Amino acid sequence: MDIHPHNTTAAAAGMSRRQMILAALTGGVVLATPALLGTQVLAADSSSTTTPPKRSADDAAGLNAALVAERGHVQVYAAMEKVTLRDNERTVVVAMREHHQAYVDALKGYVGSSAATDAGTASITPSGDFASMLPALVDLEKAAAAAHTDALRVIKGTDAAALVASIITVEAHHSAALAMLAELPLDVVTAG
Amino acid sequence: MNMNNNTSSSAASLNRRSFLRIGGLTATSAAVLAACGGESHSDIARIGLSPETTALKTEHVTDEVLLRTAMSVEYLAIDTYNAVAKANVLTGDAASALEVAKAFIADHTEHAAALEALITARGGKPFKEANPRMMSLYVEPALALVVESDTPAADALAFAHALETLAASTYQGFVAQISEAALRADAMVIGAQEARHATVLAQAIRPGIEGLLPSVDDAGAALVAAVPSTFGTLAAVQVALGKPGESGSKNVLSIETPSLNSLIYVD
Repeated sequence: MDIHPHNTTAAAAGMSRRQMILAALTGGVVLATPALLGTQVLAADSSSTTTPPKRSADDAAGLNAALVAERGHVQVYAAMEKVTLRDNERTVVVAMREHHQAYVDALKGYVGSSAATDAGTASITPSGDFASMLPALVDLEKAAAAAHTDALRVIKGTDAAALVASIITVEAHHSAALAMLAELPLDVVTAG
Repeated sequence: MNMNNNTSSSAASLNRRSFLRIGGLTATSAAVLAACGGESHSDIARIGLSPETTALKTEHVTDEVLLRTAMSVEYLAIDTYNAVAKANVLTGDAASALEVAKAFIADHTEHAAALEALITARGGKPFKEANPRMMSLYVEPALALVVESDTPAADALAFAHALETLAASTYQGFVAQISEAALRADAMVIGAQEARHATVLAQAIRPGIEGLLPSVDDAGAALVAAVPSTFGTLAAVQVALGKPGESGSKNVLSIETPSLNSLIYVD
């Protein structure tokens, strides 16, 4: 196998004698540190002039904005559950609400004690049947993914960026799936 | 009897310091002898001889490498769709999938152009070919299985779905590795569209509202879903392709996001 070695020597060199002794005594717990440093060394070698942190306190504002927006999306789907739906439609609406609730929980957990308490606002007031609401839900999901993508431009921490990216992927699935159900044209389905 | 034993007194005189000195002298002698051993080779292992090794080239995973790799995945998708179209397996009811394939080729071409612009703007060198390792490891075997399958159109759709899912996961995974924040967003603009492609193909495989969420078939095997999970995953994508074997099962191909071996490093 043609595995290319990474340049972790700088990190290894940065490991002091005391750290090495500690590592030997603690059965490798400290040895895990240079492995983590290794990824930072790689990042530092990239075209950017600064090494991205795994976490940054500066990200709280952006993540809180995403958190509040997600709370609003939860309200939309929760309200939809109260209108008349077929069983299979209700299953989808409940799943969507649970997904957005999972994003609320994940973002709130990430931000911790600095998490916003704003309850958010539902951007849609459900009315009519499931099919008639689909286009508005497609727009909601597209807007949600777009807002998170914009947030990525300012998020500094790689952990937060990874979390937001994993939400964007599924919100893209949401919008396309709902757009397919609404029988929208292919270019609308695949557009952001 | 009161006989003094000389051996016990000599052993006692061999204190720890002497013992280490003798050990060190032995090791040094062995090293000197080995160094003076000349060039004669034998198959018998000797102290001081070892085969010559060539150090592997050290590579650096930079933003440019990640963008070049993303480009190679775009070209991989383009080449795959073109190969499927050329194989003439999307016929009959599946003919409409050809139009979808053409639209997706156009999207992937746009993605490649966008990535090229991002790379050149940073003084980098674009990579305008399909990822060679992923092509030989995944696409070529998959296409061979599709062509020999009893259901080539369905298999072609299944593989296209797997490939788009892989592409979406690739961008999502790169976000945690890219150092420049703006580039992460640019990557996810593309990654989100790959996810939408995957959803379209999932609906082609398992249409309607019943195909939206994960489920299993009668045998307990996972079915393709338009919205496969709560969070985007980086897990390997498994796809069953080809003519069923004696057990009635198709070959299962597991495809993964680019690893260190398949990144497109800078020359």
